[in-house]
Amino acid sequence: MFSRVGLVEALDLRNGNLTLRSRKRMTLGTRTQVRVQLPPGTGKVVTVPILLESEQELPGGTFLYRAVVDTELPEQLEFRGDDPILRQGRRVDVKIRARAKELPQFQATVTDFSRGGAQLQLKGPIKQKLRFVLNLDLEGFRLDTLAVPIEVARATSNGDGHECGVRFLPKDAQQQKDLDDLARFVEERASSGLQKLLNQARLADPLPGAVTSAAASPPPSPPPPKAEPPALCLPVKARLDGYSRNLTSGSLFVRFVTPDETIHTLEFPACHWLEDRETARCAEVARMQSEAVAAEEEERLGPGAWRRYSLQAEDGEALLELISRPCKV
Amino acid sequence: MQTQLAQMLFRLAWADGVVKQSEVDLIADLLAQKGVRLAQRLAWMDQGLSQPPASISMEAAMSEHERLQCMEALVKVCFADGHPQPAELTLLGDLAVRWGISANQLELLRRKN
Repeated sequence: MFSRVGLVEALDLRNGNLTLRSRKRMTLGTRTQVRVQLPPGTGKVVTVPILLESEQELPGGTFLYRAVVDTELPEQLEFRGDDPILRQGRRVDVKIRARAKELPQFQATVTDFSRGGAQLQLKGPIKQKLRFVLNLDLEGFRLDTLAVPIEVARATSNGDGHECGVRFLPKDAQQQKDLDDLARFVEERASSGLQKLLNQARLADPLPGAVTSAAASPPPSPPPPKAEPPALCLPVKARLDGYSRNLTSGSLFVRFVTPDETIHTLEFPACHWLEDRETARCAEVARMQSEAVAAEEEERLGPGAWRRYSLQAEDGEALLELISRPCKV
Repeated sequence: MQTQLAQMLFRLAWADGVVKQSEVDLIADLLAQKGVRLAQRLAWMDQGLSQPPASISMEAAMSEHERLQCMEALVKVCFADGHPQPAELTLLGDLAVRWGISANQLELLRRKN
């Protein structure tokens, strides 16, 4: 059900993700409609249905929300915001493996990340205020690893395991830049519509080797019967200039002429059968159909792959048909 | 690069187990645009699209520019009919991660189509 709130301030709108500032508190996980000025400064107010995903309380009693736009908005309405609040404390859910050379037993996964720090899930307990160098194993980022000094700001242990929040202590400007770049990288991944598609794809079709629980897995279904692959229809759009046969090798050489008058020769090795149907009437080849020969015919022809080819006119009429080994240049 | 591009396009076309005619036509256009001559194109496509390809190396030795060009072609094929298959997207995502192409760059490539 939709509820309506008043005018809110749009801070960033990209890839169907809206970041907004509101004076009123809204309920996360609900669909609502907001009225926003889009693009900012134009005076044009648009009512946008959204799904609220996260909330951050800001100084001064306002709230920062990140939401998914629940409708198709014209691309020209999108904009990249430059409000400083967008660069502060934006925490993004991630899954990054982390190690520490100084602590051999240390094993952790970074579960959320911002420019200033990160949240880690740990294999064992850790002390507050501990300082060490954290090594992040990165995928897809311009750096494979990033080693950054940190301080454990808080540490908790409960039945689910151990967690800690760490604060980054970059040693120089370059390291701060690397952290900024990494934060931007994970933010962009998180806010990209394509990333959502990719995630959905992974859920629908897990990668080979992905761990799935036995309870969640459906029983294996029997493999489908092996079907003969359908004929392949390759676009040609060229004039058949002629063909010749090498009587020693048995290869058939077919010459095509493209509109730029270039001659292209395709070899059909060990051509076994050839039927010239209509090349005298029409030499314009629109496509080449290629299919595997029937199993019984293959047995007759001999071991290895054999294919039936048909050069066809625009109306689908076969101009030249043959059986040979797979064609080559 | 032409060979690698062709192999990846074939693999993408086969990702969902079926090669559609629209994919065949688009791959032919893309290879022609990349300068693959007619005879070579026909031979490659006949071989690569007539049966699912054996495993191919994803570690293509390409420059960053070539990778982006290659990814642009792959994105075109993936989104050709507006309904990318999960297996195609998975392959695209894996390649993007291997090649260091960010999700935002992918999104931009998708929008260029």
